[in-house]
Amino acid sequence: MSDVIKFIRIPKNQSKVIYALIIIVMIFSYTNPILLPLNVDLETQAYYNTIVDLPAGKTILLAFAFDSGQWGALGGAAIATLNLLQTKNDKILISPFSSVEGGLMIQRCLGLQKGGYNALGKYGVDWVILPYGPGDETFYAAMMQEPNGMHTAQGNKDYFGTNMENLPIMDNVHSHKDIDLLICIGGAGAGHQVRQFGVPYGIPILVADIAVDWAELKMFIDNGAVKGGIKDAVGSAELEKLIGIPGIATSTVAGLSLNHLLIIGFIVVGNIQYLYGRYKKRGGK
Amino acid sequence: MAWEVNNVIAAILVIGVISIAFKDNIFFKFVERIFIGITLGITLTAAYGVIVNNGIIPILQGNYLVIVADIMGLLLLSRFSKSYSWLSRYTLALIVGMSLAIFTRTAISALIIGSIAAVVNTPLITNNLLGTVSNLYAWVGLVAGLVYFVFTTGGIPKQGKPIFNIFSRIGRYTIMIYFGVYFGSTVLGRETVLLERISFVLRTFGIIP
Repeated sequence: MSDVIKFIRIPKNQSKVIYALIIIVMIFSYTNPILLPLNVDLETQAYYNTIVDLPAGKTILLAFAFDSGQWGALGGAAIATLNLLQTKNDKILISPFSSVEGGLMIQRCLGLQKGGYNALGKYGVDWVILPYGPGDETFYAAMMQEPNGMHTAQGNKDYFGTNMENLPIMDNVHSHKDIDLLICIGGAGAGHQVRQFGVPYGIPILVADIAVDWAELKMFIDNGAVKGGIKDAVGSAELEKLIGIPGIATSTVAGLSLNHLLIIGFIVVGNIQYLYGRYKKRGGK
Repeated sequence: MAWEVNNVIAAILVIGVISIAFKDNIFFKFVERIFIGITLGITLTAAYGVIVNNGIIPILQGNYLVIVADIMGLLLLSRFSKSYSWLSRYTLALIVGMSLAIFTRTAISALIIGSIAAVVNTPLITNNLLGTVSNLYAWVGLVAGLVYFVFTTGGIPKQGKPIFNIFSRIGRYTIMIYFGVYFGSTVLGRETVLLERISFVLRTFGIIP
């Protein structure tokens, strides 16, 4: 037994060996993909259903509140959401919220959606990109204010500097009264959205978020404050499956399964080492 | 996509970032500085746009109240002067006070009442065993988690209160499970980020389609 323990022990450069193994397994998982069946979670299904069931002609505030570091987790959800919205006839207000890189993410996702950059319809009439606004919750609160927060909080201009007076879509959008659904890609746990959109104004909320924030987001979904949620790349892949357009999330998940097995292996090895060490400490041979 | 110049440059930079996992090196430092430079550039550009749109143009259009906000903003720069740095405290106080008011006005309803109501409305018995066990766990976990933070019965262990001790221990395990789930989710999230970049590098060099 002790020989086995010594064999699996990695005394020097332990972290480097682990990094190397993870990267090797990741490369292997892409060159030899193992596609495990993907079951759609209730939260993902609720996210999809809420968008599909929304009557035509409603106004959706779609926030891209994530940055390039979260692209792997949320890029797929963002593109899949755009693909889904294309099939509907709603007005889409795309906002980076308080994410400095949000504008870049919007541009990237619009370019990668099915049908290309202008697939959502005519700019300024069917959809618009709103500018970045600093301040997180104070900015959201200002946006929702009556009588004209959606204009004044954003300096009366869109992302490209065009006056909102020249954008027909903004004629009917002034405050919280004109928003029928908030979809937030990257919500930092959804607390901000629930506090500033859901609780004070009753706006239905959908959130796609990274796995780190899932524990908080799940709480809001369970208590009904958020209608549905996408969990990281796995949830994004489920949404791609529901829409029927496989994208970057589906390919990411193919590699994820094998890596999880590796992590489980590390946990098992670590525990065996720990228990063996404790056994030796107590005088076992 | 394979071997496109833009992507090849990006893929080389990704390899530069990953190289820190093995040893600190000059290639990583080079990539790190590029990253910081670009991030700062984007942030400054975004901030400039906000200042012009919200702080200057409205004044030119006759909204002179914005001058007050601009002055408050300029006061923040007084931090660079030893003699006048105290002036920045007024602006900071305003920012903190306003933010706190906006954060907390709905926090109780969103974070506390909503969650308690959800648990209270959760039926103990459902039509499937897994659902029943899950709901039972939610109830016990909530009560036990709260008991763990009750310190008025004699501290921990809560002397002479065996029921409290049992629930306190269950509460401790519940909290530990939560942290475990949180940590597991963190690993999952970070792995996803690396996976996507690895697939990007492999695609860029034509190793996978």
